[in-house]
Amino acid sequence: MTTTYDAIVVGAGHNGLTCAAYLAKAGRKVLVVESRDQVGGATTTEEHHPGFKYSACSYVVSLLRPWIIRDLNLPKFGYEVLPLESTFSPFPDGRYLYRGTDAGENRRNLAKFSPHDAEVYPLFSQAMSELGRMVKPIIDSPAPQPTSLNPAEVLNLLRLGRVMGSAGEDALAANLKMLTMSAVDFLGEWFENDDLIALLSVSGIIGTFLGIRSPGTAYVLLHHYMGEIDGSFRAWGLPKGGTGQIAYAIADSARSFGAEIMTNAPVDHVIMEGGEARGVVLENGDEHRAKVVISGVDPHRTFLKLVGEDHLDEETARQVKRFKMRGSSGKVNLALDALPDFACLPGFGPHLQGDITIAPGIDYLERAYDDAKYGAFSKRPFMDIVIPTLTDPTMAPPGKHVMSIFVQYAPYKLAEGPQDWPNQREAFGDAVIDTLAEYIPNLRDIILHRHVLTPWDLEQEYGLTEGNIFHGELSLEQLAFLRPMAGWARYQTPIRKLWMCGSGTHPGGGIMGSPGALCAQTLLQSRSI
Amino acid sequence: MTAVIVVGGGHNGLVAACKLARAGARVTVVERASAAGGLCRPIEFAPGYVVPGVFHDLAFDPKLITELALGLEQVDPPTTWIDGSGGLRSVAANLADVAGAEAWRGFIDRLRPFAREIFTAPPPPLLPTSTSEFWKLGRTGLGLRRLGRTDMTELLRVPPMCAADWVNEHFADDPALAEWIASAGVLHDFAGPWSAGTAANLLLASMLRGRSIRGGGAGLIAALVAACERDGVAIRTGTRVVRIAVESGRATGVALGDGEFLKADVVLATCDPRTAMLDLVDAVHLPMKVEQQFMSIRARGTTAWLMLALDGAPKFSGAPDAERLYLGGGSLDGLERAFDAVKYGEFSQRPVLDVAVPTIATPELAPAGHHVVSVLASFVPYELRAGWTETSRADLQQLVLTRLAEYAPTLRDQVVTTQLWTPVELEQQFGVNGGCLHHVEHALDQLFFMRPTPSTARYASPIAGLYLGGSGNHPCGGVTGLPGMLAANEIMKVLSR
Repeated sequence: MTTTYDAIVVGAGHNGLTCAAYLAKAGRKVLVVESRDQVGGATTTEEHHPGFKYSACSYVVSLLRPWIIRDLNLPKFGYEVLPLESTFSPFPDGRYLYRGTDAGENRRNLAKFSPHDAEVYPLFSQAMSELGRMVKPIIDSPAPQPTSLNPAEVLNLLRLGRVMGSAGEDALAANLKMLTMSAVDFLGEWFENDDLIALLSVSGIIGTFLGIRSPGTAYVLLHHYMGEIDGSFRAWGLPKGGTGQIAYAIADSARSFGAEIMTNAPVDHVIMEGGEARGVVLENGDEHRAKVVISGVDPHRTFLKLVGEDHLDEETARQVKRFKMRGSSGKVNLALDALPDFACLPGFGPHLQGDITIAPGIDYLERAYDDAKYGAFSKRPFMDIVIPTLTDPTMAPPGKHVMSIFVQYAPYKLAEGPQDWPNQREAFGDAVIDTLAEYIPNLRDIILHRHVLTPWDLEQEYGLTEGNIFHGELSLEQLAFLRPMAGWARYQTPIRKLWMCGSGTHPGGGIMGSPGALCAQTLLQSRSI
Repeated sequence: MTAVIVVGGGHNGLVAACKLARAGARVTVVERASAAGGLCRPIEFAPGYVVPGVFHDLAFDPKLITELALGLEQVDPPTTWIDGSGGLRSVAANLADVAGAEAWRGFIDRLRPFAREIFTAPPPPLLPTSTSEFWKLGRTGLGLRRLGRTDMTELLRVPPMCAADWVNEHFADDPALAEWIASAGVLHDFAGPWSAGTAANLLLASMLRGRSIRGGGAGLIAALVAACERDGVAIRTGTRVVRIAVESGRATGVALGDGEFLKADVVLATCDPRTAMLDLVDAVHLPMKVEQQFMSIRARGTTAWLMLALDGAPKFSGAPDAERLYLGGGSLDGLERAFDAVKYGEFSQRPVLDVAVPTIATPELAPAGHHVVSVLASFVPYELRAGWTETSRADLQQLVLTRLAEYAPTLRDQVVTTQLWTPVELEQQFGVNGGCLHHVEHALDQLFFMRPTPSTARYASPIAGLYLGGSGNHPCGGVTGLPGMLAANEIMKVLSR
């Protein structure tokens, strides 16, 4: 028995689900196949220790497009975000910086580092938000096609030029600089204190294989100023119930529109007939056919594993292979018996409720990067930490806590080869705990359970090739009309009837939903189904 | 007759002066050093021993040779020997064997005509404000489209990449060769091969690379000085400009160190643009926005220059008559490691050496039978965290000599005398801030219409009658003569009005 669907979506990550929901909403018959036993992909809540729920991979949300939340009516399906309102950054020498919602307090705290920088900080934040607004249209529409001679595309490009130009030459120059500078150089034009520059620069490296001194990181920094929750800019938040709850909400929305979602259904390969994608064969041998196949998995996996190199022309194979994946980060999740006690600011306080970053100095971060460049995890890594239980107590038993630690750098390609990660996993976990224990003396005593995810694990467990959390590096040559490859940045692929909707397509990674939604819209407009 | 003062007698200043004089202007070049030439100036670092300027590679525009009647002979550059596994090998002999070299060269060659259009015209304005500017921009766009979709996409894809990734797409099988090729995108700048954007520098260098000139930088300067004199340019060496005078928003002349004032209708500064705009022009005449743009220019020198006088020919094992050698880190990672040091304010413990032996082609640069060796050592920071002292200088020199001795074991015993210029001395000697040999670092945000700043990228400055036209302007640093030429063109447009 075979049913023919309008579309089969491979992978029930948040983008695959979003794409399916939009298609189903438009009345199309959609099947989503997922290899894991639950939906969400890297947008997942998991219980590895009884009673403790981890947002195992992605852990905060900000970029999920408000129009998608509206279109799919996600709040009805349990989507709720609790804001993270502060950033706390301890230093090994006992200093710390706390930035919250009170501008006066922020100013006093910043002034301890540099009075000049304290003055500049609000101006900087404002300027960044303005730049972010200017760039924002890019993440809400398909990528422009500068190499196309189609008049519509040329007009589109001219219009983009006008939008960029309308803000004036100064703003345009500033934007161009942002695109190409390093975070440190860019911030150095505003601030004088190196420690502050380091703290602000880390948003520029998250998920990239770049250091804060690497050109191109200023743009990633800007990316983080585009976040919004309920229309308020620059806000990050924790999804209630963990990031998995986002996936459940989108999945429920998709189901409500009639989409079928199948878990424990790993795809073996895409059915190729007459040079066209016709459906998928699951590992258990089941065949499902559809008018189009939409891959929500990364470009490497899509073309090299699911389609297979035999079906690719030489140019496509070359382009896919040179698309850089290069995972650079890992994750450590902890179940805690009590709250951590920071040496520099003991006891409970608002500093524990927000974001906690370990990024003490430019050289510290740069050395962390240097370790990774030559194939080792950082001995002293950069860490971005949240304690979700302080915002959402349902994540752990009463009085207990979970701690989510994003760790960079952990290069997929170890000097000993990626397959050596299982041997180095615990050493990597130890490096994280050892570093963190310098700031939190009671840390080792309160750990009930430790869950370490290396890039290798991200690949093996979640199907992220080379453990890249963005399905491919967010570097300039892999963005917009070059994501995932030149000529195929509009969700169609060189394989007829094969589409893509994952983070490896424009506008890229993060819990944003745009690739999935834009793919569905483009597909519907094309009238292929 | 329009009076033009050119501040700085480097090769760009001389090119501009010669062009303007031929167009009928009364031109005076003011140079603070005792001889013209700037970074190309021949340096007699010990009695009888001369090195012909800092740069080992010239990319001087061949059309200028004819236009200015310089009478220079173009020659093919000597082959470079690189350090592969198993000793030194010649690059020219090897490049042909490497799979990928052909595709690489093909792309570069197909791009050249378009690149030449870009390099020989002022950069477009950020925002076209007039119809003619709009059309020019359109023409550039058309030129880009004429490349065809594949090359055009490639040209849009490559610049933001890191040199290492781009080079690896072609030369991954030959690590030493890959490193040498990538090095053209990083040397003298604050960047390693894994720094994003260095592919743009490499592309730039590859586009400009062409034939060399007999006599090198010294020959070029001698010819330019002769041409200037022939065309009536006054060159005042040993004379320092202390101020560019501005009245009612217009440059009126320059004040010299000895108190003399030279009146001018046009002042063209070909020195370091930060010196011109921040030191020589009084801040009250600059819009604050422009001043800030200049203050945020990045120019961090990363090269030290070691000059060696030898009592005989250097004996490089396996390459006895080598004129050029690149002694690198053995791989892209090796080059990157050399760069890592400057991030922490240290010099590389295994510096990468760009070596020239000019006396092989020009024996007159040293006493009979003797030789000079010019070594550009990277990466060496301007601001050494421990501070530049006699000890740290001696350490650096030892590191360089030790590396050289790996390839020329007898070299140490042949040394008659040495001269080491760290970025600090390069700043003092040549007036380049931070010891940055490109005046303004080559980086994506400091090239094209952003070079040296968005407000001065088209050679005219916000001050009427004051122009910039040195290495800090489009297209780039190094020895091309193009910034000087393009600045002179802009001035001539005004003169002819």
